[in-house]
Amino acid sequence: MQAETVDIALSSGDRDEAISRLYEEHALGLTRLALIMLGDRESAEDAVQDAFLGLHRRWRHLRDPAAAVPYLRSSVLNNARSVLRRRRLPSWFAGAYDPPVWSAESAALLGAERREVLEGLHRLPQRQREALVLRYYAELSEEETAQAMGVSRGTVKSTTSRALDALGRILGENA
Amino acid sequence: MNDVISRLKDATTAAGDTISTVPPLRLEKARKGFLAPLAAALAVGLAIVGSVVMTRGGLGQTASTTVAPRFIVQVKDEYALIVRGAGDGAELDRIEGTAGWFYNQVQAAPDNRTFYASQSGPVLCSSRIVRFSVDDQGRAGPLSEVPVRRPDRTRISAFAVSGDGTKIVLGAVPCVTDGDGTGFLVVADTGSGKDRRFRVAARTGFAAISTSDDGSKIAYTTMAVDHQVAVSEPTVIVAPPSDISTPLPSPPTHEPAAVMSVAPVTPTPLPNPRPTDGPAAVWPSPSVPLTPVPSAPPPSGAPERPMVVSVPTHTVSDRGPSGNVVVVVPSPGPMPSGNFDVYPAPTSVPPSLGTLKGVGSCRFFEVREVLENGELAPNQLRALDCADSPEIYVLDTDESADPRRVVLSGELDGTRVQFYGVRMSSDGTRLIAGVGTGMTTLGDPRAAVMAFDPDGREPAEVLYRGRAWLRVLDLAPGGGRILVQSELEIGEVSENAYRKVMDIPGRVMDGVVAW
Repeated sequence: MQAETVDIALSSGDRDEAISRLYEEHALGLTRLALIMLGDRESAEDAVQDAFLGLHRRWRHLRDPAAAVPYLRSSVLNNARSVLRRRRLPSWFAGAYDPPVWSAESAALLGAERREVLEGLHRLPQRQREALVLRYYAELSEEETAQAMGVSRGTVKSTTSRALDALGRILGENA
Repeated sequence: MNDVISRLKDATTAAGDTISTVPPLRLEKARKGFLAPLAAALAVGLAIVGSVVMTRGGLGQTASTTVAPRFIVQVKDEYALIVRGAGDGAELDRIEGTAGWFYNQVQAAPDNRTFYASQSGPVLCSSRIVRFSVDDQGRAGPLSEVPVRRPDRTRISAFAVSGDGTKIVLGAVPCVTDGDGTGFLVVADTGSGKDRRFRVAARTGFAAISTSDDGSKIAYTTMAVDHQVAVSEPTVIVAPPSDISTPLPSPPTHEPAAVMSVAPVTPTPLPNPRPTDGPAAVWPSPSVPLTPVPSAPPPSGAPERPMVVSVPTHTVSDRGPSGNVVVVVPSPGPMPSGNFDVYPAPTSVPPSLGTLKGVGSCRFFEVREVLENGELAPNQLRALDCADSPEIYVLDTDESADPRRVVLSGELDGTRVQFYGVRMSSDGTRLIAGVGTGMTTLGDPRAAVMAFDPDGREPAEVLYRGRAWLRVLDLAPGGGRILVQSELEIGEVSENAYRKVMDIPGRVMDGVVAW
């Protein structure tokens, strides 16, 4: 999933059409990204829907058409963080969600080795996990990753390095 | 390192590729103002309904109107209710809320088509009950507000619909805790809204409310989220009693390792673990890991031999009903991976502090995570579910305005049980509870659904055994069908048999699941 610049109309009259076009072009990729962050499809779809709704509401504040996709990407990440935070609350405050794609239930679908990697990825701290997913799944540059995560480029670089080390240890440990 | 990157790319791409389509964009949600800041995190609510036929309740009680449920309604999150097919859990419809109002709980009326949901509003003290219906295909109609009132400056903490559908019982508590723990039970006519009110001790909220079919008898439990919960680290033996060949280690006498609560609020000083006289303040969840596990647990079920495991226990420093207390592990980390083991603490182990009553048997899953510095953290147990307080309050609105306190007690295979969800039977003469001995394993179920007499001292009947973990969520009208959570499933118990309804990867909140 490469970063893209899109040509969108900024007039409020074209808002719905432009957002629909963005959705058509990017919703699938963003949903896949959210799935990897959250583990279940329903939560991922909700995170993406909410990101587009946020863009819809803030449309008139959008000055640069090229900012729409980075905005959506950051928004999806933020929404995913919110979902994960809620899941850490006491059980009666946490919503239910489907078994994650890296769960045992999904082993047959993805294979044990991939599941092991995904499980290891989700044992990493949130920031490390985001850095790895954005850099190596979404194939964003360090600059784009920094923008999406709201951190500096240097932080992305060091976080990614530590995350790879940690993931390597986890996978080695499980070997 | 390149190998790690390659594997990461391969795995994430494969996971991402499991999605090939996305649902249509729903821009109407924005127009309704759904992006308002959220105030509450909510729980899962399921309501299962079925069509009406005459059958005899499986509890040997009054014949009533129940059959297999057709629809499940789930409180997905703050925003929406989801109507699902009861057979396979497939989503049939989604009911968005109204701007600024967030769903809390859902209950089903006995007509199998009408549902009630409680909502909290955008301003302090705003809460209400709404009603909607589904058609034969599970398509939901519009929401309408139910004309029930509650005492001033209170909010709806929990609610129930009577089995005949004529009454709603609201548990209302002050919006701002005044410290005396007073609450109200409001029994309201679903049509006219005319009500009767009962002032009762409710601690900080009602955990679960259930009623007899006619709504005249009410059973409820209370929450104690503003009470101190001290978590120490006693060591216990996890194994069936007969397998325990080594003496139990002496419980530690040091100060509690951590003090945790079930809700984040203003910090207060670390309390002394001794019981105190007054209502205790809440201690915010500290960022400490809970009870490291010294050795890797087996994949599932009981250890083959006694195994020393640190299991969190709790003391609740209050003198009254302890209410529901559940361990909260505040440290950040991954979600449950889908694999979990049952590691309950034997109830016979003496607590290091206070009492283990009602909170001594928890179900855990084990996680291990990587710290920010890249080091691997010790294994940690996270509590998935803990036993409820055995204290239930029963109010017969035709007889008295004062609720009666019932302390449930019973044994299974000679071992005292703890309680996981309690509901009143349809005729109001029994309390139906999920129980476990604290020794249950996946391979050796020591859990059951039991019926207790009104005194609660001994179980009157074992209604079902056969699953390792049973939490009673609700009874269908008539009482013949019991909605339970068993392990990571929602299921139905009827006529001494269990039927899986759907998977669910966590605890379903007690008190918000109905059918």
